[in-house]
Amino acid sequence: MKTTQRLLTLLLIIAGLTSTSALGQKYIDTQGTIQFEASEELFEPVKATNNSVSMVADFSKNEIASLALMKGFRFKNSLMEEHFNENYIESETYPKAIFKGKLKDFDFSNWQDSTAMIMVEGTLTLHGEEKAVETPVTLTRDGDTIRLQGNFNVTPGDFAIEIPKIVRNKIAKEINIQLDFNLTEK
Amino acid sequence: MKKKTTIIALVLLAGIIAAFAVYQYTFNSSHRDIASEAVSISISAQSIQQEFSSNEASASQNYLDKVVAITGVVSEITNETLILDDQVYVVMSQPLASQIEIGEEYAIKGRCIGYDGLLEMVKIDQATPLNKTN
Repeated sequence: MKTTQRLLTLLLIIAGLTSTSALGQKYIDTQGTIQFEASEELFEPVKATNNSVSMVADFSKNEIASLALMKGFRFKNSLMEEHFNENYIESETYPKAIFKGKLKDFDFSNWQDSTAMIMVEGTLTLHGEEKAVETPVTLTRDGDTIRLQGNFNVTPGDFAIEIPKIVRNKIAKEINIQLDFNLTEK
Repeated sequence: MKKKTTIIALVLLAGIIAAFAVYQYTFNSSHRDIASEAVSISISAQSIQQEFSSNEASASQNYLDKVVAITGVVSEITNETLILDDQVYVVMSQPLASQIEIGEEYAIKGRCIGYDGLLEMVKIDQATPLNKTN
């Protein structure tokens, strides 16, 4: 009798554990897009896109993490891409950018609307430097997919990237970063 | 006298053409064509992932930006990407042929762009299928 009871409790605990993990609300995108632009008028556009950025969002804890490989940024101009990798971002030494952050005041389980504007607070690490980032993002529900979009500005100085004088007027002081992720539950 | 002018004109013309060629070469040269480059390392999906997960710095030195040939079992597939052995994430340069199935052994050639610590996968881009007979 006692053993049955124990077994039952054990089963209940296991059931409890599995159900909480099922409610983990982990959403993943492996093909997210990050585009950055630092173009100045009259000069050649300074712009690159990475189409294989990954993001993991845990809506039960309101945590998001994203990772972009520097070599994955493609420029129209191959020389610009080479300079980006070798002189500015130094992708051999610092191959990736990582963002870790939190969604502020978001209650995913009670989210009914089709869109929501959420503040994200976190740290962006690239080129060996960390920077605190606070930016609004838009969440849009599209069937099983949750689309996360947003954009924010950084400066090369934030990440100890020095722009040589000779090209300084061809590269904008502020770099705009655009995010576009389609998260699906995993 | 007339001969001299012709020579000068020709030299000038050659100079302009050379300058233009150098300009084109340095500022407008085309991107690397990974598909036509020779494979520098052939490796299995599992081994390359293990190398990156155990020592990312040294693996980066060995593989980053290199053209690698990777063989593994297809574990996930979308229109333009596939995952080999749950360990290597491949972005193809052309949409994949539809006859590839999960569980099938597959070989690709592409550029290694690094290790994604979130997914715990090595990433390859600009990949093309490798014929098994090669």
